[in-house]
Amino acid sequence: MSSLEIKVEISGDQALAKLIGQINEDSDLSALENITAKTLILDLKEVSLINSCGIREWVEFQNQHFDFEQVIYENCPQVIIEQMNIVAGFIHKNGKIKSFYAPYFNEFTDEEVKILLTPQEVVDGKAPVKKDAEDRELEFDEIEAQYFNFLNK
Amino acid sequence: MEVYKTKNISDEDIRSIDCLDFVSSKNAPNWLYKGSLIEHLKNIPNCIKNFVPLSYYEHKQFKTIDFLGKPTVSLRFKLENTEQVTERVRDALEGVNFSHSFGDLKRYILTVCVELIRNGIIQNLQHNKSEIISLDILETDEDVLIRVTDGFGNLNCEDITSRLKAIAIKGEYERKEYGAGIGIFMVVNSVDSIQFNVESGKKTEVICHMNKYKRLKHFKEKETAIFFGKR
Repeated sequence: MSSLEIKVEISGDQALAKLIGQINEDSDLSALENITAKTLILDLKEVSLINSCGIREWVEFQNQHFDFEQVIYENCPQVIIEQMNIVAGFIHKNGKIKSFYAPYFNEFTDEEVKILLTPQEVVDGKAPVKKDAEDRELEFDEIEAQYFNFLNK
Repeated sequence: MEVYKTKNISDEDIRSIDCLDFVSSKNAPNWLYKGSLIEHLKNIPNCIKNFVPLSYYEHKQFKTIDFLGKPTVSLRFKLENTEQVTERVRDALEGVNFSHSFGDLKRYILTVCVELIRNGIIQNLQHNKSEIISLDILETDEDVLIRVTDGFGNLNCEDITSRLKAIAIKGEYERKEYGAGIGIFMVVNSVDSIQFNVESGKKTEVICHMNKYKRLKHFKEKETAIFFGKR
């Protein structure tokens, strides 16, 4: 049994697919085949893990089956951003990142927080300033040049 | 702090180890190979056999894997699929102490274990065999050591380095073969050091050292060393 669940909703020219679970070589991606829409929105928020064979399957599946005018990736978690930064073709040629999570650290409370960002917030490769509920500045908890590299691809 | 050395390593060897760093580029999330000294180290007899370098680039400290005693995790595999491997390793990692490390460290360790184990299982499938693939995880308050062995001995230095470089520099991988190199790249990106001890055609032992970093940022800033043992 595949530990990846895909929920697809189609509305007019747009299809929204939510991926939940792990992407690996045994993942069943068939729910993403034969979708008739101009735009596919992939909500990746609940992808928890992807392995090397899953990366390869994903890249090749997109190449074979995605004939959309636009593929929008939203709520991309860190585990996905890391692969976008490493592997050529992880983002479809007609792909666009709408939003993604970035790691921040609150040194006052010693807590890690993942904050949803948009590409527009990243100016000159710098992480946007984010604050906690007490208006204290959080520290970006990655290497900016590495983490935001996918925005240059 | 105490320094542990094996009897087979000299000060000259330790100096040469410094030259083996894979360093991260400022402009890319990649590991770039700095030189050809892997060949040099590979030719030192037994210099990297049966020990794990810890924080070698800062303090030149070495501990033997045996010094650390009984594994926290000890699992055996043969023909399991990725999800079965992932589930077993994830459950076993509940026994490892992550109380002072950043939240995603467990995920990176899981990835390292699953990629290395699956590499062995795939060889079982390819050769129609059911050799045991073993995983041992040992820990201290500050470190995790992961050891995966298989009974094939098929990894080789040239193949690994060329695949790592292809992915690191271009993001490309070889599509025709099963072992595309992405897995080993994910492993290398996650560890402080990785050591391959290969007895050609007989046995492969991969030993990874991972510091229990308190911050994700420090984990990402680390430099990874790669060692190839000669037997």
